[in-house]
Amino acid sequence: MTGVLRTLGGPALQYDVEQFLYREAWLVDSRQYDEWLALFTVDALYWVPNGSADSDPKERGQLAYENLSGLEHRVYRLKLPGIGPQSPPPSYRHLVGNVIPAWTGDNELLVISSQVVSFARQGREAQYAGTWEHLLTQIDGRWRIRRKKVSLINNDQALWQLPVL
Amino acid sequence: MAIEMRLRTMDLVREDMVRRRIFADPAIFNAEMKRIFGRTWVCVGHESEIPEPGDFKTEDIDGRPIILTRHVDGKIYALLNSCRHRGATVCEIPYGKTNVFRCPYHGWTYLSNGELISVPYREEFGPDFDIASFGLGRLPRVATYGGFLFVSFGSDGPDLLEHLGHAAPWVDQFSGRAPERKVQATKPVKQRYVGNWKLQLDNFGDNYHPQFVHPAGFGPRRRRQEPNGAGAQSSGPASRPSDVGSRIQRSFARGHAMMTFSPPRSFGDPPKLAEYITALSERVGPDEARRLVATDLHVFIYPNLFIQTNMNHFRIVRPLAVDQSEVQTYACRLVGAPDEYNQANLELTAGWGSPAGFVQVDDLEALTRVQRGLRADVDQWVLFKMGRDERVNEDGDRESNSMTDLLSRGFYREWARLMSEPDRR
Ligand code: FES
Ligand SMILES: [Fe+2]
Repeated sequence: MTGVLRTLGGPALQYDVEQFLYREAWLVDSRQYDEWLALFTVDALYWVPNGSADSDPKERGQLAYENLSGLEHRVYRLKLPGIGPQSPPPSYRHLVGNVIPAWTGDNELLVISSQVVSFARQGREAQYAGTWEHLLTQIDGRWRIRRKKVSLINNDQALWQLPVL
Repeated sequence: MAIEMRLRTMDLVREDMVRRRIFADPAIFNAEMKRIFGRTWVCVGHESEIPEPGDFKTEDIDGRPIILTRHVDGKIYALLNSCRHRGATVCEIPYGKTNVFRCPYHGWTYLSNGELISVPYREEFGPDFDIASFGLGRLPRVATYGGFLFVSFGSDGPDLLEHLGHAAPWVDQFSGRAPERKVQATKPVKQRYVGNWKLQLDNFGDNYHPQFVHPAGFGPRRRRQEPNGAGAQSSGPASRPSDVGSRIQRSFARGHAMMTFSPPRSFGDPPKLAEYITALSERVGPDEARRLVATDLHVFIYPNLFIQTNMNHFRIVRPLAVDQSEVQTYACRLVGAPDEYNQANLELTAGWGSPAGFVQVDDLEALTRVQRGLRADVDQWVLFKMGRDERVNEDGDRESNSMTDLLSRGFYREWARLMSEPDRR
């Protein structure tokens, strides 16, 4: 099966991967957090570097650096009612562009994209832009996220709220 | 000056409540920057951030850019980051190592103690031009205590040790938990909020809010995180915010404070905990080691430093405007403790302090609500009335063992004291 996958390339691969990223972005934008969580593999890593794109998690605390149980906690929090950053909930819109896929293994595809997230809450707006890195793998014929790394261009600054990128 | 008149005549601070206006009035904020941040000792980080000659970090206090350097003489200098020629900043890098700072505008070059050593086309400035008198400005005072780095824009007033007073031994306990009696600060996680800087102080001293603001607890169950994100969840429940048994809270002179909770609020056992306790025992003995490790100690040094031993970290609040502030969270490594222990702590602390994290983001949201809400009527009062058992202990410090606003009452006594001292220049 993996041999077959790897033959996927050119416009077909580009289309497939772009559709996947659009769908992932839409799940966040429409706050379908459980469906979003289901896109990750059991050994997933969600990583938002702090200070620079090559910030080393051994040297410095990261804005987010969590495995699947950390992500589950994130989603649990996102769905809790109360005073937290969910009341009122944020509105987001992701804009996905400059998608560049590259095979890095038999069933391992690295996808680099540029994304811009507009974020609005309580009359305040924020815009986060950066490089999104997805390490994808196919399980039962569907793309799954093994690693998602979001390097914001201003991650050296003190930012406001970043519930999900 | 108008603000001085107002401070003298207006009823802003009472024993158990303060006027909402002090969080919302830009004129009061400007006066605070002069009379508090422009005068008293202000924490700007930890000396372990600049351990070797040539190391530096840049900061700014009230929009005044400064550079903290370690010079070849081993001493720390706090320099104004502004060229003496036309005023450009000479360094725009947050952290680094250098022998000299060279101004990008016309090439004036300074040593890391601020001395001016080179002026291109110097002869054009004429024979009377004395480069020795054009070094970078130095802050009047810089000092460290327990590794914490403080500066003061005021040239007089108490020295740092006198300023810390009864809080000093509690500051010592932070590095006292490290087997080698030293901590290593890592670079901070930063977060911004739409609220006054003093709201963060009140939030620190407030043990009334956790069960309402942190309904999801203080974090996910502690887990080992492998580089690839794979990891097993270890045993140990995430603590619930209401898990507080007995407590001691003290308010010291000059607004400083401490709190301890016992049993300590637990986040599950960190990896290599036993090895860490063994290493610490070698220096302090097993009983003291167990006591230190189990201590959930929180220390506040007025006006901007928060130290917490439960996750070996400290935080600094930076006022940016009357309704804009930044919190920097510095995870610290305990020197001599196992790497895995320190690494787990680093990750947990980042999760607490990050804008993408799971604890402080909730607090800062509450503070944003306060900032917005108190504008509804700025002549109303903010209440600090809790605390049925406040007393003065044998050291002369105010103390309480119940849910209390003792700490905030201490903050505003100091606030009123500093704010009512007239400007010196
Ligand atoms: S402003 Fe620095 S050399 Fe001219
Ligand atoms: Fe809190």
